[in-house]
Amino acid sequence: MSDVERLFRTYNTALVRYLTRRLGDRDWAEEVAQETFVRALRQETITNERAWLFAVATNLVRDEARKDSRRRRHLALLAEEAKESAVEPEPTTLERAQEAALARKAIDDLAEKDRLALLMKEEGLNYSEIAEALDLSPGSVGTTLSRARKRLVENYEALQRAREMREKNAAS
Amino acid sequence: MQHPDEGTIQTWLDGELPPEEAAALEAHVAVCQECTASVAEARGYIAASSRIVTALDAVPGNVIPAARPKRSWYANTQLRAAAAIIIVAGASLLAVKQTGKTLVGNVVATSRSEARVPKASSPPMTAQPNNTLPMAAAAKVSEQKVSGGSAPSQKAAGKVTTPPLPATTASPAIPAAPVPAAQNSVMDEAPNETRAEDAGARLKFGRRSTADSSVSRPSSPILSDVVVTGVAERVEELSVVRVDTVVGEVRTMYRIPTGEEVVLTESSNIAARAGTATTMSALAAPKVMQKQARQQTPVHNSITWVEKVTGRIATLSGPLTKEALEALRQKLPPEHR
Repeated sequence: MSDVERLFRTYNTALVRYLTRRLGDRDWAEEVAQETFVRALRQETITNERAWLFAVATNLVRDEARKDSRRRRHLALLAEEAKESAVEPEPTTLERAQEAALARKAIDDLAEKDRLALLMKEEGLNYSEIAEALDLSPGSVGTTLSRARKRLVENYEALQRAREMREKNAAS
Repeated sequence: MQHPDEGTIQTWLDGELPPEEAAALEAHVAVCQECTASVAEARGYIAASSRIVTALDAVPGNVIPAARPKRSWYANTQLRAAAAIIIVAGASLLAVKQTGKTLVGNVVATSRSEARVPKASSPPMTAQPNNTLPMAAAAKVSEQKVSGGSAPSQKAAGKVTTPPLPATTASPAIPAAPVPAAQNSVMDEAPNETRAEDAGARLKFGRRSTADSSVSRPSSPILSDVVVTGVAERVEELSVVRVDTVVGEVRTMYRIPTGEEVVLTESSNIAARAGTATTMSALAAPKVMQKQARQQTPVHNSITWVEKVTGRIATLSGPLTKEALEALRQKLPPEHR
């Protein structure tokens, strides 16, 4: 098995999942993941594979967003458009779709590095890998994650309360 | 010892503190009520945020509006029109010569510049809601879990069948649009000297949008399944509801298709299991977790075993018979069995 094939078998699933959560679009996530592995082909050696792959993928997304301001607007509108315009191959329950939309809004409200650190931690990267991928000091990762997790939960709960209030007002 | 700050508590709970500092912090928390409350709150946020992130997986593909150009030269309308004419002409000529093959991919290659074409040569994507990814995601919440890479390989090995890549299949919900591999460059500025390499890499990965039967396909079930579905894991009957992590123990709650929930508890040793049971019950769950409270269930059973791969002690419990729990155990990813 070649090195890149080994990298693919080892990390592709986690990378695609990380990118899907970051972008809100599975197809786009897979394309970015593929491009990441293509770039790995060009590297002679990669010291810290997981950190490198996640860093490259993160930078690819950031570079694409910078190049195309239209995509940035699309990212901001994902929570609404996901329900209205998506072509879903299999039905999603209403509850799961609502949860996903709330989760998307909640996580999009985080600062970029907080969001990325949290998503990377969810994929099993350790603190040194996160620090390397995001160019943070290792000592600041704990604080970053603490802030991100707390803010995410508070955002989500606030959005939930707002939705429940709207539903209650609509019912009355 | 002074009260640890939130970052230090987080570092400790994520298992990233050096052993001496971790021991000192643990000793302090044991005797400090204020810090005990802070730790409990932090644990709640860790579990709740993991649950929220997992909810992001319920997302379909092609969410971004289709008008997203892939190549910079496609932005030129005249060039695009010229390309369309040439390709349609070529497709017509090909249609005369090749009556037995699907030519949609060649014709639709022109539309690739206009739209993000779904990969019609693959069956519908494995639905996130049904879901394997949250399970894997949950498996990675804790620093104690296996690395992200090994899990999919192990999960896929025992479960995945390898559907053949159909040359012409189009999902009912997705227009038929396989695209030749050479057209599949993602980035606008892919260097010319790497295009052949890129195409080769994509062929190697088994770019699923091609209809060309001569394309070399990944022979491994893992890559094949990834190519077809986009994920290497396909656990069709278990979906992760939440994951709670405490030092030495991980509790994963799964929902089965009938709606019941079972809990897989994995710990490094029995002492850790006994010690954390009280801690878990003392956690103040945020409201988002309270929303998941389920109705009381009748008979509750559990089975315990030592995981062959990790050596951890695992207990699966839930409102099912022991036989049903054993059957569910076999559906868990291999490293949890």
